[in-house]
Formats: sequence, C-alpha cells, structure tokens
Amino acid sequence: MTTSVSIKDLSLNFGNVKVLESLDLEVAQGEFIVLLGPSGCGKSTLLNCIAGLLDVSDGQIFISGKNVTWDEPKDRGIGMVFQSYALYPQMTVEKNLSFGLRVARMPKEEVEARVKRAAEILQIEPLLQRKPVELSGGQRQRVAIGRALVRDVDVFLFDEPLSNLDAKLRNDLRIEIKRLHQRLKNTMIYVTHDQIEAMTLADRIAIMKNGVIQQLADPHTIYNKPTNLFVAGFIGSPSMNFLKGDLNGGTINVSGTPIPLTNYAFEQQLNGAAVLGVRPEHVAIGEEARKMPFQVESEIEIVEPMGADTVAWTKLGGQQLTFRAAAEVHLEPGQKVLIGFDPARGSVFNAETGNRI
Amino acid sequence: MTTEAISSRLPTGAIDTSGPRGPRPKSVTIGRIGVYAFLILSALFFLLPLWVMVVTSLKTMPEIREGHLFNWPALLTFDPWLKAWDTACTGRDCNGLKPGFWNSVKITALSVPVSIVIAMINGYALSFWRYKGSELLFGILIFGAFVPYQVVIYPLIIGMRELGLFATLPGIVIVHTIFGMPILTLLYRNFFASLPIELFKAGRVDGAGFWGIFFRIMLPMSVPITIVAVILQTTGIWNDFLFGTVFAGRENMPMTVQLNNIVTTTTGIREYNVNMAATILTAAVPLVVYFISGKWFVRGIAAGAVKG
Repeated sequence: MTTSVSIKDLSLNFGNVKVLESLDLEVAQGEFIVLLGPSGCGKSTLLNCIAGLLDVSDGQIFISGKNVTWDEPKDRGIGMVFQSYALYPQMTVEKNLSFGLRVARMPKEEVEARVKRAAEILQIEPLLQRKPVELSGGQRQRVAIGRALVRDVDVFLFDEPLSNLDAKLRNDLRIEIKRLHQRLKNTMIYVTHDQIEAMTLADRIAIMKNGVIQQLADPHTIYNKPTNLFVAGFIGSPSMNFLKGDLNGGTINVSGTPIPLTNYAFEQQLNGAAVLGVRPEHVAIGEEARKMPFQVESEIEIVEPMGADTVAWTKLGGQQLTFRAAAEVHLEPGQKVLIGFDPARGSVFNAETGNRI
Repeated sequence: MTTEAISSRLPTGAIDTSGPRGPRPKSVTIGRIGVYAFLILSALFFLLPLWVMVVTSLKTMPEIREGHLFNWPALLTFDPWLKAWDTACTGRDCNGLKPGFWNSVKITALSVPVSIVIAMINGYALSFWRYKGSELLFGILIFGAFVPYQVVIYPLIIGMRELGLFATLPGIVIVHTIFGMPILTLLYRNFFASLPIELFKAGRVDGAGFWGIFFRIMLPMSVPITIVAVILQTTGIWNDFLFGTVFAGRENMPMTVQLNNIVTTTTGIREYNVNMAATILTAAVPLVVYFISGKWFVRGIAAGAVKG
C-alpha cells in the first residue's frame, strides 16, 4: 500500500493561538479518511493546509510522494469541494466545470472531453447550460464535486460538503459520494462534524479535538473501543452512558452498586476512580436482560419514542442511564423494569486522564 | 398515556366560531390620515423653493420686479434659459454655462472610472489577500474619510505644483480620485467581505491568481455595487465646488464654479431669471441621476457610504 498524503509534524498558529500542533497523518492511496470533530477542533484548518490555502507554521506536507509544503493549491494535485458549493454565480455549469482547465490553458477538445465525462459520472448533463441560481442544493453540490472531478487529480478534499443540504438529500448524496469513491478509487479526505457521515463513509476516521488527533482508526474500532472519554462521548447517538465509580480488583462500584467487569479486556491495571462507559444500544430490558451478566431493577423517568426505536432515561446508582429499546416495547414513566448489560462490551476509562484502560 | 385519556381531557361543549377569521381587515384610522397629511404638507414645503426657481426662470425681468414670487408667469419666456446656457457673462467671457458644462463632463467622465477601478482593486486586495499590515492600511484609509478637506488643500496645492499638474485636467482628476478613495474602498471592501471566502478559495484551487480571480470571478459579481459607486462618484464630483475652484484652473473650470461666477457678478443688474435657470441647469445632472437610480442610491447609503 503506497502513501498518498503524508503530513509530518504539522503546526499552525494564528498569532499566539495554536490551531494545529505537531500533527502527523498518513493516508494510504485510495483511502477514504474522515476528519471528524466539533467546531473549532482544527479539522477544516488541517484540510485548508493540505489544500495549500493556508500557510503552515511548521512541518511538511507530501502528496503522492512530492513535497508540496510550499506549492500553490493548483500545483498540489488536489480538487476541493466546499460547504457553500462556491460555484461561480455568473458562469454556467459548463463554465464552472471548465474554469480551472481554461485557466490552465488546456486544449479545447480536452476540456470538452473532461467536462463531458464528469457530467456523465455525476448525471448533470441536462444542467450544463444553466446558471448555479437555477439549480437546487443537491444539484449545486454535484456541480461542485464535478469541478474537482474534471481536474483529474489524485486527492479529493471535501470540506463539510453536505452540511447545507436537508436531511433527505444529505443521505442521497452521501451514498453517491461513497459510490463515486468506489468507482474512482481516489484518495479522499473528508471533513465533517456529522458522525453518521463519518461512520458510513470512512475507511478510517480521525477524531480531532483542539488541533490534536484523538484517535485514528476504522469506524468499528472507534465505535467499540474508543480510546478516551472524548471519543466515546462524541461518537454514538444517544451518547454513551458514563457511570463514575471506584475500580477495585476488577469490580467497579457505581455509587453503591457493584458492577463486576468480568471478561473485560483491560489494557492496563488500575485501582481507583474510573468511568464505565455503556452504549445505550447495549442495554437490554425484560427477558433479554436476564441473560446479561449484570442486571438491575430501575425506574423509567422519561420516554422518547423515535419511531424505529425508543430511548428511555433511567438511573443507575443515582447516575443518568439511557437505553434503547425496541419500538414495540411499551414503556411509561414510573414503570419499573429490569435492565441488564454485558460490561465486557463497555469501555472503562481512567477518570483522571480520561484514557481507556 | 393512552389516546382515550387525552381526548377525555378536551372540552366537550361546542366552541363559538362566529368571531374573527381570516386576514385582519385594513382600517383607515385618524392617525393614518394625520401621518399622510403631515407627509404631503412637508413635501409641498420642501418643493416650494424649486417651484419658485422654475417659475422665476420663466418670467421676464419686469414681471419679477412686481414681486409676485409664487405666481405662474403671465408672459412665458424661455430666453433666460438660453441666456444662461449660451451668453451669460462670467467676468469678461460671455459664453454662458456651456463651457463649464463640458468641463464638468470631462472631469466627471475621467474621475469616476479612475477612482472606481482603483478602489475596486483596493477593496478586493484588502478583503481577500490579507497580508501583514493590511488591517492597518485599511484603518488609515478609513481615517482619511474623516480628515477635513481644508486641512490638506494647501499641501496638495504644493504637491501638484511640484508635479507640474496644478490647474490641469489630470490634476483635478487625481484630486477627485484621492478624495474618493476612502469611501469607495470601504464600499468595495465591505461588498467583497460579504461574498463567501470559499469562492475565492475555489478560484485558487482552480489555479487562478490575483488578477485571474479579480477579473474572471469577482468583477462580474460586483456589478450592483459598481452602480452604487458610479452614482456616488458622479453626483459627488459634479456637485464639487471647492476642488474645482482650487485645482481645475481657468481652462477646466467646472459648471459649479462657473454658476457661482454668474450668480455673484457684481456689475449691472441682477438677472434673477437667468440665475435661476443657470442653477437648475447645473443641478439637473445629479437630479436626473437621482431620479433614474433612486433604488440603487438608497442601497448605496445602506451600504454605509454617505458622501458629504
């Protein structure tokens, strides 16, 4: 596997504010990497650095084996898609697509061929003579993708491309981007704050916070084995339950309720303050709960029917616990139910450092 | 909670549905009549001077001496207009306002495009190509908008003299360009700052440089703001008196200066009808611009550019 984009020891400061600090990232050829994080975590900044739209303070960027740290965006072999589409409003779709090629003074036949191919792939041929204002949001974003496509580049950069679209279109275009990646097999770096987009699209997700990559792994690992409390809380909706307690000899005591962590694969030994993370979807109720290694009787406080399933809020040892139940299960506030889960599927964190143990 | 339990809590009695329904009717109130009456009266009050000017310019001198200021002329005459345009005397020259009009056209036609093109590039560079000190430069430029003209006139005269441009057409064009710069740069900078920065980034990724992005992406988008800038500059420069007096020289004396000379001539009788006609002629150009472009002009004011 060859490296497509390689970022070495990258730092970026705006005055005294350190946005990115000694960041390293290796992206393999053809890989789909998602940079995920809350706003202000530096993910878009990192993407702009890769694109060459921001000058870095320190470090190096390699694209396809070439050091592009000082290169202009156009010389880096990248195409970029922006959140606000950034289509040139006074040009037709065709002119929008061909703008970069015309700037580079490419022969006319070549330009036409490339525009035709991109329009075919994205199914926007009927729109070629229209202006961006005459297009819907989804069509505009396709054109924006097409503008990256015609450049015939190695690396595609997406800066929150679906954030301006409504929920249904977002789903449709997400699938199309995935299909596009499977067809073109280009390297893609995709910035988003939407965890669903990240989970569904990525080969690997890089979760960022305060300019530092917290965890870089495939979606399955990110979801099941989060490396720290931040990642655990950021991924998953409703978010993971955190039960604070005292860890002692393989049992965590949550405000008087002991939960034995049998079969949990500890990465390190620790006795003291710890946090047990349990995903709401890993909590079972009723008959299912009886099969679980840990069971407890609890009273339901709030019920949120979501349609496909129901989220219920309850308490365990005085601490908030949510769980997901099938939509058919009838739940009412005040009802007492038996809930249970397998602590081995959960995650245990050091309460002080927040890291997984 | 079951559905039956909720429906049992709804009131069982019928609701009175005879009350208001649909859009609220528009009613004419005393207050509204008062507002309109006040507005109409104010409009008449402010139009009164214009009325006096127009009727006076159409009267003969004997009729003016009768002193019926507001009356429609008994004997309609257009001679004062012809005289104002063609033969009225300013000092020893008796060519009317005609040469001044063409001088003003020359000055305006040159100053407006030059100042706008420079301000456009300024605003573009200041909003998209931020460099160290660009904010400071912008601050200084804006500060320039608050410097009273009188303060800089004398140094400017010396500067122009040293460059050999004093009392020449290029000289007055340069002066208008300099004084238009702060407000126009602000106008363009704010306009470009309102465009999404991603548009500029997309242009860079597509390989366009400073001028490529300016000419091919930004310029075609800035038509509306340019109309506003043209209106501001045209009316501002046409109405200018101070710079015209000081920097234009006798050869390029603008219409406003010539009007002043006609009106303040101290020899002979005061021809009020000619003076009124000359004044209306001078004011006609900005008036026409305002009338044609009212909507755009309001937008220009809203954009934060009020030129004194």
